[in-house]
Amino acid sequence: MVGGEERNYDILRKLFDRIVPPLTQLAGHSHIQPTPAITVILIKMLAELLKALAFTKKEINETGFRELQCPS
Amino acid sequence: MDPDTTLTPATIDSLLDPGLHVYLEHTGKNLRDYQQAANDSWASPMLSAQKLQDLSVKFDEYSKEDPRLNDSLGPISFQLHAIGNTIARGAGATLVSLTQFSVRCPITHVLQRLLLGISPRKKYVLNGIGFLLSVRLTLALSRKLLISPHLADGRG
Repeated sequence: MVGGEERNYDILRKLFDRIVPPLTQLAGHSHIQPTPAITVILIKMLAELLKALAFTKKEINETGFRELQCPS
Repeated sequence: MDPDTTLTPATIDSLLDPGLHVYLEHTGKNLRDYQQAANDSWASPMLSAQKLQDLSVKFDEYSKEDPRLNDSLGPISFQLHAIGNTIARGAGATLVSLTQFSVRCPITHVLQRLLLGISPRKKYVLNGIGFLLSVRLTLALSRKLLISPHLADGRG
């Protein structure tokens, strides 16, 4: 594997790692029967997940992963 | 918050706004528009199942392994799977089944493909679908919360 591709994998792993915490938090709470209070917590988690997805998608598009460009 | 407090769609909108704003700012995509389209086209479990099945077919086209990429995506896949199961149960559907994945659980099928491997030359497909699933599951969960019984009758 060439060095550049190696580096790409490392960067990609770091970018994906950013998504895992909010997803894990969400998955851990999503099985709870929603009450208004729980729903507020879940929606806030969703907002955080959207932020993580936005930052990650932006960085992937800007980092030069031509073969990894998000289609949507 | 009082457990009996009514949670309105407007309140949920305001809670989601920070995430939606950041997504628009960094990607140029307004998920409010996308959410309406998603609500229309992913309106039923059967439609969702068909769309996810279509995505899984795309994965079938690329079967070569890429362990490094799969390794990176493993934790994401695991959590998406857990959330997907929750959504399917909440919808009263049988979209996800660990024992019947090949026929009745397209979410599982797709995520399994994420773990099994994909041609390095087609990474963009995997990457794009990973995001697609993340965003759509996020929106689907939002929608599930919006139509939860306690929202309909205003009780917890």
